[in-house]
Amino acid sequence: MMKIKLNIILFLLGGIAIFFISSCNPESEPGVVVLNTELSWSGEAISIGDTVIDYLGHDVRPDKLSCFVSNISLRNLSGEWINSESISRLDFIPNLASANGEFNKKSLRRCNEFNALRFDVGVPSEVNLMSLNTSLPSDDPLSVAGAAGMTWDMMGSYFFVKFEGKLAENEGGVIETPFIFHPASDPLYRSITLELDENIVLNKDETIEFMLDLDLNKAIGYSTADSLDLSVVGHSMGGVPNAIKFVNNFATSWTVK
Amino acid sequence: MNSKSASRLLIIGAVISTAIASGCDCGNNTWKATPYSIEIPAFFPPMDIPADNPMTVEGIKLGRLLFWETALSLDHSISCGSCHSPSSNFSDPNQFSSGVNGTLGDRNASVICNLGWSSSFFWDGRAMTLEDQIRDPVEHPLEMNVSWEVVVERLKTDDFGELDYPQLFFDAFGDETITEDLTVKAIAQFIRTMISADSKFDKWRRGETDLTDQEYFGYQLFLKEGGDPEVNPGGEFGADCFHCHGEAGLQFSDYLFHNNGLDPSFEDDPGRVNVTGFVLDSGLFKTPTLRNVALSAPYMHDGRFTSLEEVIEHYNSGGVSSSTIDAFMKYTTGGLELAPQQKEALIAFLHALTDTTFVQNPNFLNPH
Repeated sequence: MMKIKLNIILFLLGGIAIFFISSCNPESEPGVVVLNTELSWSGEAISIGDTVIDYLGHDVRPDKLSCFVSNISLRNLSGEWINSESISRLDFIPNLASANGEFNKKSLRRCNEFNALRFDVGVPSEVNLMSLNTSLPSDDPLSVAGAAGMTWDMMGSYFFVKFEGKLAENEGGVIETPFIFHPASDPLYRSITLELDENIVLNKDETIEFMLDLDLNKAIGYSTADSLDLSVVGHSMGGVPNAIKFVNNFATSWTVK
Repeated sequence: MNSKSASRLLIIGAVISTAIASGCDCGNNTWKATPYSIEIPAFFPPMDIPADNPMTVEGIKLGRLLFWETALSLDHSISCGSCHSPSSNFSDPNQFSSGVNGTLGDRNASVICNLGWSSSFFWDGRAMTLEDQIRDPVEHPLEMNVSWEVVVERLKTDDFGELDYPQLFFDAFGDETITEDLTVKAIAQFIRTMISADSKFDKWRRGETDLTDQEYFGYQLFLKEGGDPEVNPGGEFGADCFHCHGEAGLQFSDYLFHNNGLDPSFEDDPGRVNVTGFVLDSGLFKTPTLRNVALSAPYMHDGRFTSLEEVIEHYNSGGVSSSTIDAFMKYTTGGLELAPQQKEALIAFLHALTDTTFVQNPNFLNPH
């Protein structure tokens, strides 16, 4: 009788051990999409700090470009969008920045072949709250440290994009007139959909990298009705008209290489 | 499998489960430091504590002794506290600090206030951790100018009266072997406790007091865009402080690097570019916190301004143009053009960031 009881106790202890051991097994890694983005000016590769000529003949020097990219999504062959619900901060130093989206096994189970890519520029409205950022750990892109320089305290919004630079108002002049785009607040959140030339297959434990091109000349709308004269935009923050024009242009400035 | 074999397997399982359940508590039974839990003030973000330097009561006590220990300088003449005076927000009221033998430094000593939330250190951000920052001044020829080997040997063997450093290191780290690493870790633990969060502004944020009308007006100016909207699109006739000294996390610094228009060129001190090599970083310096700014004179990386009035006047004038001046400086349009009463209000608000309980906290003063 004692032996039976001892065996039961040992059996239970063994079960607990198995539980602990099995709980230590890592889950399979998600499928990852990496968006590597390079800068260009009308198709020519550029870096932050380079001098380019805008459509009005100004010598223009982009000095700073950061933005939030969120909700990296893939469209499967059924037309269904699978959303990674990601948020990344892109800092172009000096010409390349990357964002990641993770797709868990479950989301890839039904269909893992995709024909389009989508992501948003900005911070989704449900987390576009300055009151949240003090509770986030510093490695979160929306934390006080992660979003350093990207918060608009007065209006309680993150800056979705920070594009700053200087230009010479006259040909050959001194590059010193500043231009500043700081679009922020929910109405300026934009989605970008890029159709893929070839379908991709993403499995769990795999990483697929896209190389994107961001054309800053398109971002100032050189060939659209929403073109911007950088010599007069000054500081276009929040939702002022030039900031709205800028985000509309910015959303059309991305292509898959 | 017979019942005996099954029982053996189950016993092995039980032993494994016990080992897992007991975790990693396999340390020295004869040493146990007292964990210290930082109290994060209201509206502050979490503080990053390095996993390899957890805070303990004993570590902080040792760090304070070492912060004020003159044996960390070549001729035993100065300690960290010599250039980081409590009454000056733990910075130096002199433009440049005197190192050993009276040698002068070339930048104003940075304030030590809420550094636990800083993401880089020194005016040029050349240290990425507080521990690395602490290593630098000891061997710097213009500062304490002594090798760490000498410092460690002194702490091991010199007579410090009632202070027994090997025992204090054992109490803090469980090891009497004094090293450079453990020395900087102890000082870092102490500095992480140096938290200022009880200024009038903090009390107002917590609903414990009111700002005066003038202070509140200054706060509004602080948060508003600068410039005349007719000249500067988006301007609100504000003081435009928040872009770099934002209140997110209540540190009044973005901890980033800016050229705020002090000089037309940067031969004397290139600043951040010496760390990154990126030409657009020429003339850029780290944004300091504005906490206790009224106590922190002189101002700027080179301590060129002696009063808040001079600082405000600099921004009001628009600064000096250069190739990398920050886009927010209004140098092309003549500055902020604040009226005298606006400047006074702004300064009144900056005084509301003074936290006398911080600079007078007996836990931070010289224990020797």
